[in-house]
Amino acid sequence: MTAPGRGGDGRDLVAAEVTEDVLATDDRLDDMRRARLAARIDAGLNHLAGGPAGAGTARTWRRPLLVGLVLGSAGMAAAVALAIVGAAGERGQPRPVRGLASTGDGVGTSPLGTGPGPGLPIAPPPSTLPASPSAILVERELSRAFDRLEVPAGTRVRARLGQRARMTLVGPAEVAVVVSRPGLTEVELTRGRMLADYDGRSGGKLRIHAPGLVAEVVGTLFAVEAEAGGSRVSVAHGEVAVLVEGRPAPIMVNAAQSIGAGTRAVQALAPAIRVELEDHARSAHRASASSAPTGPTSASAPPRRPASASPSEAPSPSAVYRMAEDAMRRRDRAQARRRLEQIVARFPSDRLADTARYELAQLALADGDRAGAARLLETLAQAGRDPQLRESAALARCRLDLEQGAERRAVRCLETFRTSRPASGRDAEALALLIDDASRRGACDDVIRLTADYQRLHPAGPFAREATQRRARCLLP
Amino acid sequence: VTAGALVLPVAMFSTLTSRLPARVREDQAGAQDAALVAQALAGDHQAFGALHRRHIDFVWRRLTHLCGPDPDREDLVQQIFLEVFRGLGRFRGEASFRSYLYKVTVNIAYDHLRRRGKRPRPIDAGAIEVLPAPEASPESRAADRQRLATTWTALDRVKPKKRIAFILRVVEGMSLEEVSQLVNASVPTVAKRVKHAQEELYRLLARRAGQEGDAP
Repeated sequence: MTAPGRGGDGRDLVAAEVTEDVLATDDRLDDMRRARLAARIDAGLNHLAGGPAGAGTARTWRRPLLVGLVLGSAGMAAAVALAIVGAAGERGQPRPVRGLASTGDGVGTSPLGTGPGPGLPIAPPPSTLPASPSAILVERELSRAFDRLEVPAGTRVRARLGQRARMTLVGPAEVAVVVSRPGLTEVELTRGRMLADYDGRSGGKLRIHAPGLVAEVVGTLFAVEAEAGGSRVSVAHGEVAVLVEGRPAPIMVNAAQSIGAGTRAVQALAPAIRVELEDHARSAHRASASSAPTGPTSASAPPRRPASASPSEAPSPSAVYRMAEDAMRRRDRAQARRRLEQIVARFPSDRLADTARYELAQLALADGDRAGAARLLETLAQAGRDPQLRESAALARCRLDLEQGAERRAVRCLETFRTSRPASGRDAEALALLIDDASRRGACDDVIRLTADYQRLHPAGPFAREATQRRARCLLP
Repeated sequence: VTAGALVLPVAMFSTLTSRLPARVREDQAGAQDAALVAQALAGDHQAFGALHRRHIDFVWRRLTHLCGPDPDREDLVQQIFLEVFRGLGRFRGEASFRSYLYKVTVNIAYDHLRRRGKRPRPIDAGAIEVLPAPEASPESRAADRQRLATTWTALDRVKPKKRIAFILRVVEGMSLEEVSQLVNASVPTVAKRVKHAQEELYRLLARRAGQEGDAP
């Protein structure tokens, strides 16, 4: 191979070697990776299409924040007034929660001027601070734009955010409501750690802005740690779409995963955060159950979820799929199979059901259950909704025949595949399988015919070099 | 009718259709793309799903050529298709969908290479997947991986614009005009970038060759 347009010297030789090396790097997608990638893209598309920005760009996510911040600056006076009246004044005094250190009203909200930021207090300053950050001191409610809460160091505050989110703020922390309207609540967490669970079953969304990222939540148990150097989102249940600054598309962070603004990949959920999240969920449910009937603001309080309700109830197909994916990553095939079967059973008409069937077939293969895999692939190839996945299943079915030594059936299968899908992107692969099979059988006539096809139809295909070699071997006397 | 009697016509038909000129097959594929784009623009998300499934291998392959065996490729593929989805309204159909997709792929690869250049990571030879070659011994495969790691490391030292021009022109065999359209640069600029990349690679790899294949 030579570099075009150059005279013959060492530079051409190096260019040819580089070309050869680039082309020798495996650039093929295996079936499993293809299916996984397709599911990831689908999840991203669903998010884009279903998000408040519609099919608009992810950059529009930032618009509400900008609007909120502009409004925030312009309406600072209104916020001050609101702060003075305060959530305590309007919505009743903060309720002590069972098991508290009994520090009185306002504990857990920052005193004016004690925090590093220009925060606005929503209640009188605390009289004392608890020694241990593990005690939850007060329950607050943040429901209107400009509501703001500061939590001093060494303090935890549980707050209700709108009607459907409950959060625990671990101080020093500062959070402000930017947008609050039916279906959408946006908050800005400028520092500190927020542990939260959000029930988005009615279709509402919670969006959290933290330095370096924006997290959008539909229904989940999760944590956001805000730091100037880069924030982090951790998810215990459900899924959160996270838009990291500098990246154009949101990343879906699923159960037992986390992502930081400074990192490029989703990582495992840190055990310490997991424990904190579970504590948050438990204590929030306990408090809901105990205070709902008799709390001083219960008459005006928003409806609470039953204590038994889990934030991970009624997960979406993509959430279940991600759980399956996570299980596969952990090599927990039994769990992965359960999740995939759950998708097929509960969401049979969802497009992810096809992907799930495909992955179930792969799992069956990995377990040595070829008959089971063949059945699943056959079903998918004939009745799948997605033409591309039908195609993948059909080709995988042919491969299965090849691997089982059913050569005649495999050849028929591959030829039918090529005939029925003349414009298929997998044609090169089917043709390569046919060439390989013909080579193994020593059928040189077939090898010559098929390799000629390959060279003509897929001259830059991954098997092109190999096809040339096999053809040459057959043509040699 | 026996099963054997059915096999022959199928095989003959297969042979005939597979001998269709490549151009005809490309036109068929282009027409299918155009139909799917129209459906996607009309709000049919499944059509876009079909589009990305049709082209995912193409994007993966091009991205591998442009960025190498990068662990972020999956993220980038997702990013590419979401970008294409968002920009579908601007796609006027003057060029093929695949050309449009290639352009987005090149843009995203460029951004990625530029970001990556600020925080270079050593290439792990063990993580490079080499295309299978029959009769290759484990030793020769390991040597192949090492050679590939050296090449990709050298490519990482070439500035992204030059590297992309080189890959498109020399590896993918595109004309200077085609490359210039893909990267939004004039033909002389592209030619200069290719030449510079070639010079730099020569300098880097010739020197390494002198060091008896030591990894950089």
